Amino acid sequence: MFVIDCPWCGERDMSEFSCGGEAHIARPEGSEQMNDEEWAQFVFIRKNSKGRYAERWNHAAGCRRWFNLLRNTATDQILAVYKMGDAEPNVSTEEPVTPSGEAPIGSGNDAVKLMKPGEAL
Amino acid sequence: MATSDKLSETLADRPDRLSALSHRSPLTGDDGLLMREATHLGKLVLRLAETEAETLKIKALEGAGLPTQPCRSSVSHTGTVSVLWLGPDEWMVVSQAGTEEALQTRLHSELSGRHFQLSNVTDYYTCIDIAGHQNREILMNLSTLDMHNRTFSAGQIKGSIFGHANAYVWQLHTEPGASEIFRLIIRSSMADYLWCLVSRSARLFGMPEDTPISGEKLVI
Ligand SMILES: [Zn+2]
Repeated sequence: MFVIDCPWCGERDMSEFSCGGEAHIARPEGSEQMNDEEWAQFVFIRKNSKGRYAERWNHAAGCRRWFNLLRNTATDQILAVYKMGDAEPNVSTEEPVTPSGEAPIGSGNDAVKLMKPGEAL
Repeated sequence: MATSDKLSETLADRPDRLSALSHRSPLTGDDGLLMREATHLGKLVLRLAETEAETLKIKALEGAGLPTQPCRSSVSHTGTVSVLWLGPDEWMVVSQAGTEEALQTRLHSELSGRHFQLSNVTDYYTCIDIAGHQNREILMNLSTLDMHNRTFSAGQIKGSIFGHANAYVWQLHTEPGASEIFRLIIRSSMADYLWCLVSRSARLFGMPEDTPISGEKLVI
C-alpha cells in the first residue's frame, strides 16, 4: 500500500485510486489507414519497464479526475505527480542494477528491496 | 393532458414519498451521540469550467460562491444552501427538502448562455448525519481518510471509500462551540449498507443496537 498525492485533494490512500496504464500514448493520426500491426502497437504494446514508469491514475473515490504519476515500479517510490497534458518531468531514480536489468528480489510490494551487485541475500 | 399534469407534480408534494432509509429509525447514545438520516435534502450537481467559477456570482445561491479550493464548501447568508466542491469543475448544491426544483429552474435561467450542466440528483443520494461525542472515531474505523481535526475541519468535504461503499463525508458548518456534525452523502442503493456499517462502528462508542421500524435484522 502507498499514499498518492492527488493534484487536487492531497495525500490519500492508494485504495481510493485506480491505475489507467501507461501515460503519454497519443492516438495516431490517420488511424483509418493503419494496418493491424500499427493498431496493435497503439492498443496493446506498452513499455512495461521495471523502474521509472509514467502512468495515468484516476482518483476514483475522491475528485474522480485523471492525472499523471511517475513511479519507480520496482520500489513504488513516487517520483512526480503532474496534471494531464503536462510534459513528463525530468526526475531521476535508482534503476534496478543487476546485469540482466532485473532486481533479484522484489516486485513492487512493501517488502521490496533493490539489490546491489555483490550485496548478500 | 393527464400525463403532463402528472409530470409537473413535484416529488415533494407526494405524501407517500419514502427516503432510502425510511425503514431505519434514528439512533441515540450517551454524550449527544446521534445518528440519523437527513431525508430528501435537495441535491443538484453543477458542472462548469473552473476558470468561470472563480469570478462567477450566482444570485440563486444567496451568497454562497462556487468554492475553487479543493475539498471545501460554502454556505449561503441564510444557511439554507450549501455548495460543495466535488472536483475542479464539479459542485453539489445542497438545499432544504422540496426546494431543489425551484432552485434548479433559477440556476438554469441564471446560467443560460454559458457552457454548463445541471442535474437533479436529490433521490440518487441520501445523507446520514453523525453527531456527538467520538463521531470522528466512528468514521476513522471505516475509511482510510485522516479524520483528525488538524486535517478535517468544518466545511470540508472529501470523497472516499467506507467499507465497500463510495461516499462523500462533509463536516457541516456549525457555530463555534457547537458539537461537530459529519454528514455522509451516499448513493441510495448503498445507503442501507452504509447505515449498518456506521451503526456497527458506533456501537463501539456506546451506541445501542439498531432496532429497525420494520423489524428487519442488521445484515452485518
Ligand atoms: Zn482527488
